[in-house]
Amino acid sequence: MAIQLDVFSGFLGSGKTTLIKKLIEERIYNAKAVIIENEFGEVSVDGKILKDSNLNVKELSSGCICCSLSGDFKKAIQEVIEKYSPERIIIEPSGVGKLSDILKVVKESELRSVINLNMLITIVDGLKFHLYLANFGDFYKNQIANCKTVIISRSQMLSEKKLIEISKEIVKINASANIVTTPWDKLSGSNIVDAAEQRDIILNKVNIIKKPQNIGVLRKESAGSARDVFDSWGFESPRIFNRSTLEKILPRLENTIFGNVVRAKGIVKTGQDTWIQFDYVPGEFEVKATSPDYATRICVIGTELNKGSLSQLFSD
Amino acid sequence: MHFRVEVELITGFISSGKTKFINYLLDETWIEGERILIIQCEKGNTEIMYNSANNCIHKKSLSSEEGLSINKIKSLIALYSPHRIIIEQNGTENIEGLLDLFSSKELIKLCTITTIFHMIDGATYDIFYNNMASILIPALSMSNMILINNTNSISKATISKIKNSIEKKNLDGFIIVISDINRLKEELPGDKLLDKGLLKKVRFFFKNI
Repeated sequence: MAIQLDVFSGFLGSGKTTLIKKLIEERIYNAKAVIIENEFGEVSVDGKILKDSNLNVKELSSGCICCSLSGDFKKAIQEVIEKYSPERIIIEPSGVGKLSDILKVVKESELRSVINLNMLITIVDGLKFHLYLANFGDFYKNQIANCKTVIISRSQMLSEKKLIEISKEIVKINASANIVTTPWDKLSGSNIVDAAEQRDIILNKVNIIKKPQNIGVLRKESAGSARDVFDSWGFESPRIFNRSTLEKILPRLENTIFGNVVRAKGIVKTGQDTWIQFDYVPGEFEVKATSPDYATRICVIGTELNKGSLSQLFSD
Repeated sequence: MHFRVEVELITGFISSGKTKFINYLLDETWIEGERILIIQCEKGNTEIMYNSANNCIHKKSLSSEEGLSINKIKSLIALYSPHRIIIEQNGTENIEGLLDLFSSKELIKLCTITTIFHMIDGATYDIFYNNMASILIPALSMSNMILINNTNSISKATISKIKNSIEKKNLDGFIIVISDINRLKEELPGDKLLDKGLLKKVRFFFKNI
């Protein structure tokens, strides 16, 4: 079976090791996993945590930038596979290296038949984002452009407005990554992993309205079959929508300028610390309190959807 | 009378206090009539403060794509005729590029690097200098004056460790410890270390006859 590879990229001090520690402590990494470290920061994955969790750490040379180049990493991965036969490998690369260099090593060498790229996460310090984006060279954008998930750190210190600005800038650099904007202390390790492993759980997860649907296809709840017949539009943002705003917006989906909306579901941040999930069908919707998710996420399903108008509806 | 433009390099990683130090230099060491050109290769959160009514001081910002070249420096000197140029280096670039520029045959006739300053944020010294050594150590090792800043956030033991680590990389620079970058005037023994005061006025007088 292919070895799962998770890469945690991001500049110095962004929070890579802190996140890895969180995932270890919450037992996300409980299989035989090895961590390959090419950076030595303030926070380290210390001995006790490692002992408790069945993990090994391999440290690469002294963290100089040139050592994040292909030769060293490829060798390190091969050594680790030989020595530990792990099921998972976690890489914490140098904060000033290009993420594309690491991906190249894994995708283009003989490693590609044994390794499956699982989570590709870039962590961005929300407080320093604009400063670094304006002053750093290529490597900073490269890390964001080549990942699958961007996680913003220190988001508890940022206003909703600032988080939205940062998200917009990130989307300009990487239009397809999902962006985690909820503060880490509100999220569980598995929330984060679900986001990073791209399990499209919105379509599966939110299912309050149990009454039988007239349309046969929707009786099955798996995302696969819904997508065969219907179109879907997704929205992800740090935005807060309070209850009354949602109650005003959702009924508007009946208007045909949005297309033929059959269903809408979402997990929405309604206040500093409150989250709800909603399930809408034309004519009614239900709302239920829920635990925090990585961002406000809304999915609209239907035919001939007018994605532009939908974007506007939820962005204003 | 022919004189070479004096160049001061302010080096150090982003947010280490370079711009605040430049503001301090402008306050403390500018003398009446001296034309200063400030070239910023990095734009952080602090603004350069100077009296804009004073038309002796000029500022030029370069984006991270624009670099400094021999021709660029020559044209800036021709445009502003400065007595002194203060350059705020981009902390993610190796200083050797700048030093090569100024030691080129063309520029060596026009300017001379008089002092290289290096700013360090004590709180991030370990993580930055261990992980970005090839970018930061060259500037550290060539500096005449090194300021360890933000020391009110770290322990005395850590400060000693940092000083020891610096002394191994730079044999003859002055190391100064500053607890709070916003209190430079109070904490720096400017009179004894910086080029200002009577000696400078005399030098300046001779340059301008």
